[in-house]
Amino acid sequence: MDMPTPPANLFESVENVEIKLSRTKTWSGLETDAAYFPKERDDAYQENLGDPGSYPFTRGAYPQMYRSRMWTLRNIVGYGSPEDTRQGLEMVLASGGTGVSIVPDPLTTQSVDPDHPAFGPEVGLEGCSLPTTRDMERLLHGVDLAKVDTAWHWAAMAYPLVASLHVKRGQPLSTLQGSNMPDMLQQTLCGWGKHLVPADFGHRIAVDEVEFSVRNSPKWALGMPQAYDLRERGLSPAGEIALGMAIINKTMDDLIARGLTVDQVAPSLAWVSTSDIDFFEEIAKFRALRRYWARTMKERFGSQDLRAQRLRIACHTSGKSLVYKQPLNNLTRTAIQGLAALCGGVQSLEACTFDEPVCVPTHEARELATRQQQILANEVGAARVADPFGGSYYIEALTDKVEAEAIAMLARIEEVGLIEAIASGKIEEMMDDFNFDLQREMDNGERIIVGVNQFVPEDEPSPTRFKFDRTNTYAHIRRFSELKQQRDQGNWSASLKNVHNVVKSGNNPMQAMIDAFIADASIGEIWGTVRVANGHQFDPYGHLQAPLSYT
Amino acid sequence: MSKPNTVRCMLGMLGTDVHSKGIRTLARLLDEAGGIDVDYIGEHNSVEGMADAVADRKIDIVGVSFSSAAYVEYTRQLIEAMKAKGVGHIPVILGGMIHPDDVADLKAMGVAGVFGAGSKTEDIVLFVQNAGAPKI
Repeated sequence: MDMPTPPANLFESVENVEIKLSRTKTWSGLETDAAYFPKERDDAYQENLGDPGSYPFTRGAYPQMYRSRMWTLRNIVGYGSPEDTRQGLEMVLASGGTGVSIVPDPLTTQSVDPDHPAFGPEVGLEGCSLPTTRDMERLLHGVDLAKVDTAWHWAAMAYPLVASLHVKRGQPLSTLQGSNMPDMLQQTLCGWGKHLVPADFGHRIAVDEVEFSVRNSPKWALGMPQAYDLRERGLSPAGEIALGMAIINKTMDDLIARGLTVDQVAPSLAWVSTSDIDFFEEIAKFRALRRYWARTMKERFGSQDLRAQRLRIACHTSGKSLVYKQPLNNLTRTAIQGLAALCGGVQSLEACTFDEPVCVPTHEARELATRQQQILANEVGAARVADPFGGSYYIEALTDKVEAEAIAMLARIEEVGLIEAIASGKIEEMMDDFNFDLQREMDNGERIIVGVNQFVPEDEPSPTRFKFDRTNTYAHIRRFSELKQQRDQGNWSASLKNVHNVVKSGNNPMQAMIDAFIADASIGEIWGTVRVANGHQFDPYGHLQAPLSYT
Repeated sequence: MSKPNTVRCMLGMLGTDVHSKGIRTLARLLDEAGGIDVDYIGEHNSVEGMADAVADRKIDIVGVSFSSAAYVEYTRQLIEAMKAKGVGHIPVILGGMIHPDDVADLKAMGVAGVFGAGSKTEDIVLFVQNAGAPKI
């Protein structure tokens, strides 16, 4: 495929390529208002809905919604070596994407180094391999992290690694921009399991990251809770609100115990959500979620700052809702899911590519995902009016119902205690039940998914899949091994011992981790050190021993 | 104790893959189907670890689910490791995100059945139940 030649540094212009609201009239030319209201704003309206931008924010986070601030159109990129992903990012920006979301490979997100003896075939295959500050530098050379907002699909270790590059460049933590998704409890629940990250241990690190970044990098945004993966793992929209809020409540309690206030923390948080295929239920969920968040911050945590009560939502359309057979049908699905997210008032939107169930996205599929949002913005009029379904009998009833179910479920979780409910496997059992019931309904025809259990095409050609040259990845692995030989061994071991000591003493290890990254310690070594200091084995997979003695 | 005609089916995942939703659901479906003893050994196994488990546990069939593109390489390694441990005759079936272009290669290396996207529960159940039929 021919791509336009990108300018020398596309990242310089990221801030200027935002999608703009091109038109406030309808397609035929009728003028519209920024929002519509009931004839009389009675007490029930004020209490349960409020105008867009007003407590309890059911109708939206901002008064003018997309007229004042368009959603950020994000595309996710990540494959191979840092150099490979760099090239993918430049293509996204060249086709009109306004934000860069970077996906590391599963080894990196699990803090496993690319030279691990068991997982060679996976390095860089499903995301970018980023084990060191030097690799971060290769990915982001020329990108000023004080100006460009990079979004990381990655839990607690993203912050110290990205921050280490910023610090290494001589810039203060206070100017660092970007976002990540610090929650580790969802990792325990979504396939990592207790052996990769025990619930209490993971949660402590997440709280460390949130505390440190809120205190030191106020411009760094935190996608928390990461409810997207929880939904994908097996939860209803009400379940998303319940479990997400349970995680928020627990985290907030722990941060307050460390001396922070809700009004210091909550404005940095954004809810990472999904938009699944039920258009109406998803709109209701976004509305119920904002309302319940606002009430919780105000009534439970005593917030006095509207910025803490006003929830911002980052949405990625549901990957598991997409179907492998006849994958072009997925463009229909993602368009409807994206429209639901915008009618629900999200602040950023990533649409899955239509080939999501097949492979890492092809360049063509990524470009179509961008075009889809441009169609929603410019042709459909999705951004024209705030809360376009507000006042609909159906949506209002559904909003109340989703919220009521969420509140009941949250009470059940908190009765057990969140950490205990996760550590004992109760929550996973609940998710397994959800998936099992869904499969049963599909098997007996009560629930139909086109191309899965009905309307399945015969003899389809194999779908195209993304392939890339692995040469860079192999060179990257060799380079990583060489770095381990060449780095300053004294600085390296001192930095890891320091991480160990800080964790042992019960203090926040984020600064020590940043320093260790700058001393060329790898992500596997730093995470392993934190694990050892918490009484766990160095390598969660049990193959490697710690490369140094900590005493 | 298992009944004499019960098929012992081991299920698990290899590598760093975290997409356990499908195989966990399948474990329950097989368990409730009748005639199958499911031994779910969990996610994140190494090739060696899984091959050892196959050799140790006297099973009739092993099922592995992949959502990671590394499945061709991992499957090759698993089958070789199973052969090296003298359990190469035990059928291996795969599920998850298996691309049709790879099916011929997988079959050639000895994979007994591939149940990728769109596979029916009843087909998987039947395949596993038949795996325990006594050899003549």
